[in-house]
Amino acid sequence: LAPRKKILLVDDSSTVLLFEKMILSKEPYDLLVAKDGQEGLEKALAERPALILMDVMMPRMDGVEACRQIRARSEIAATPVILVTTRGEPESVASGKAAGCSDYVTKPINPAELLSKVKSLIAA
Amino acid sequence: MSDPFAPPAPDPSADCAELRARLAAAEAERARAQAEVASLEEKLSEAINVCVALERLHGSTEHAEVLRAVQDVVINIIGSEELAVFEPGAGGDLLAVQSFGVGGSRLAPVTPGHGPLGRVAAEGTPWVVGDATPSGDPELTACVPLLAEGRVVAIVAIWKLLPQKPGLGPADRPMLELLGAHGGRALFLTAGRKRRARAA
Repeated sequence: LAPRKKILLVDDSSTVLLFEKMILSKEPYDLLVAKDGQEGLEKALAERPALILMDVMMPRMDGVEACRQIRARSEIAATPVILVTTRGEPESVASGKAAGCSDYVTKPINPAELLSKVKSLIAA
Repeated sequence: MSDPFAPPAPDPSADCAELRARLAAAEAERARAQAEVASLEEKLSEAINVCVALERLHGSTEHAEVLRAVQDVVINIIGSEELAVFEPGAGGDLLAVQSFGVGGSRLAPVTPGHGPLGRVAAEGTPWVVGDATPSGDPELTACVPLLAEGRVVAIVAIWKLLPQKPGLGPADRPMLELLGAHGGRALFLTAGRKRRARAA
C-alpha cells in the first residue's frame, strides 16, 4: 500500500480547522495541524507534507510570510501551498502569488472548490 | 442494373436524425446529472457548515470561548468581518462584549426598543436585509437575537459581508437561525456556570 499523503492545515481558527478536517477527512489523507505560520513552517520542515493549506491572517507569522519562507527552504520549496484568504481582491491574491502560493481559496470556503484544488495540486 | 432482390439501401438522413436524437438525450442526461451533483455538493456544504457551527458553539464550557465561537461562525460561515455581539448589562442596556472589524458608535450600548439593534433585542425576532421593514442602517446585513428559554440573552449584529460575497444566500438564513438558537443556549449555560464559579 502506498503511504497516505500528508496535508498540513495551518490556521488559528478552530472553526476553519474543523471545517477543513471535515472536508478532507473523507479522502485518503493524513491531516496535520498548526496554529500559526511559524508552527506551520516548523511542521512543514519536520513532516514534509504533500500540500499545505494555510490561512493568511495569523498571529506570530502570517500566511504570506510563511509561504515566502517555505519557498526559500530547499527541502520544502516545491510543496504546493493553498492560501485561505478572507479577501478575494486582486491585490490580496497578487501578494499571495508573489510569495509563491500555488493557489488560493476565499472564505467562506466552498468544500467542492477546496477539494478540487487539493486533489489537482496533490496529483500534479 | 440494380438488383431487384437486394435489401433497400439505408437512408443516411434517418441514421443522422437518430444519432442527433441520441446525442441530445445523452446531453440532457449529462446536464441533469451535473445539476444533481451540484445540488448534492450544496447540501453537503450546508451539512458541514451546520456540524461545524454546532461543534464550535457547544464545544466549550467557557463563556468567552462561546463568544469567540459566535464570532468565528459569522466570519467563516456567514462571511462577514464586521460584527458585534451584545449582552444585557446591569442597567438594562445591551453592551458590546465581542466584536470584530467595527468600532466607535457601532459598539455603543443598545437600548432595547431603540434603533435597529434595540428593536431586535426587544422583540426577539431577527432582522435580515431584504426584510419588509428597513433597518434604518444601510450597512446592516442582519441582526439576530440569541435566545434561551424564550429570552434574549444576546444579539449579534452583522454589517458588511466579505467583498467576494455578494449577499446572503439561501443557506444563510437557516444558519442565522441556528446561531440564534444554539448560540443563545450555549451563552446562557456558560453564563450560569460563570456566575456559579464566581459565587463559589
